[in-house]
Amino acid sequence: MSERLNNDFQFVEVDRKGPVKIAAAVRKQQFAEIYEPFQQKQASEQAHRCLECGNPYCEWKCPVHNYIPNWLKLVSEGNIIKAAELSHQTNSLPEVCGRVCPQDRLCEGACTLNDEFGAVTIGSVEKHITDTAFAMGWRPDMSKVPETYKR
Amino acid sequence: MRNGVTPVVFDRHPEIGGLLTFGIPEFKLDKDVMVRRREIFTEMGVEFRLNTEVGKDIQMQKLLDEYDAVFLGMGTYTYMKGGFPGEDLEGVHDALPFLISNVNRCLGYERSEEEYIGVAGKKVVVLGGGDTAMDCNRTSVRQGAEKVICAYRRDEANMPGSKREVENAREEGVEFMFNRQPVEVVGENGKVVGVKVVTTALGEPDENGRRRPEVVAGSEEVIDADAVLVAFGFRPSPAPWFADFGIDLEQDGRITTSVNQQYAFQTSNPKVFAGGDMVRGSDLVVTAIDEGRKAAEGILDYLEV
Repeated sequence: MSERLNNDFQFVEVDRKGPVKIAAAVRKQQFAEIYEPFQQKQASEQAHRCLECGNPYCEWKCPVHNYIPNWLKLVSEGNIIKAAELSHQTNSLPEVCGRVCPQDRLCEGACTLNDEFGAVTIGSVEKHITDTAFAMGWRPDMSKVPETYKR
Repeated sequence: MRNGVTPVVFDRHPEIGGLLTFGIPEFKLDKDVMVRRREIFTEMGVEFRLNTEVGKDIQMQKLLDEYDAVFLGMGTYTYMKGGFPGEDLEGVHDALPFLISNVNRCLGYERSEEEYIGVAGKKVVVLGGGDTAMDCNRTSVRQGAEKVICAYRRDEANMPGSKREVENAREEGVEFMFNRQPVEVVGENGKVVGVKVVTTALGEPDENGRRRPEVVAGSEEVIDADAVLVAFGFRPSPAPWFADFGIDLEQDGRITTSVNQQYAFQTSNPKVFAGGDMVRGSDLVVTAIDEGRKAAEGILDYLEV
């Protein structure tokens, strides 16, 4: 596990910064995603900007009410597997939403930091969680599922 | 699945995901993401029967006989028209066939050369201002269009889609003409040569609070174009067999659900549930996910699981 971040002023000292975008001249030539993946350090630093504001507007604005501040905290602690499990409790395709949701109109638009400091990069962290967990071999745990014989 | 019910998915396409695979371009969602999802869902116990269209390759009656409940998530696939002259000219295409043909070519699902709609070397005008319009803009750029102009009837602040994708499109060289409403696609010898637009000013807000565009007198101009892509949105596309199974529709063609309030997203046929665009009208991926999950809860309640 990487070091746990603990900085109350992370949102002031670290700017909102999304993943690296491939230059327009290059990406115009290809049918491929235009963002590089977040590195774990970047994801943690960005996730740690979350204020845990107590009444998370981001979570209410999200149509599936993702537990956003909770999984941002887990990412800032380097706990990707727990974050993936939590993320899957409310969303069947979090890595898709991280890529295609209009976050500026939903969670990030509702983020307390949005107006003055720049919203937490919620979408990019959401994508990072599930992509990384899958790459680490994590799979949804189906071991405790009862059999109902319904289909 | 997580409650012990075995789901079998019937999909008319050769890969799962519907519009996620065939409508949304690779530069927003790499196709490996859905392939990985299919593998993981399959490991979890979901069975996918691809290339299988209900009503054609398998009958609805058979599904109702063999399964305890049926969920419909069939989307909205009727294209909105502008209702102005020239929409049938050669070189005018609806957004979705254009995007799908591009994905099919990239993924190797193309069945014949004629299916492909290419705009390489062309002057392209995209009509519309939502996420689908941005997908058309950016796909045109990547195909090698000479020029791509996006004409939208409201201003930038009133665009319905994601600001991020507008910015990405602009960086990639797409030109925007705001406050322009198309009134005619202009043709010569049956082929498109331009789009006649009028300038609009934003008037009073409509019932949804979005300001209504109003035409400025004497503002007509023609934008040169060899190809026009129409991205005005989608309306419901109910299957002809819904009525045979007592599945009622709203006046606009959306499926009626939660009729008796007891089971979420249940249709007028108690064994059939529905969700997503075909129930609420075209909307975001995340709202369809939400409705799918709520319908699953409705099905579990109905099955007394």
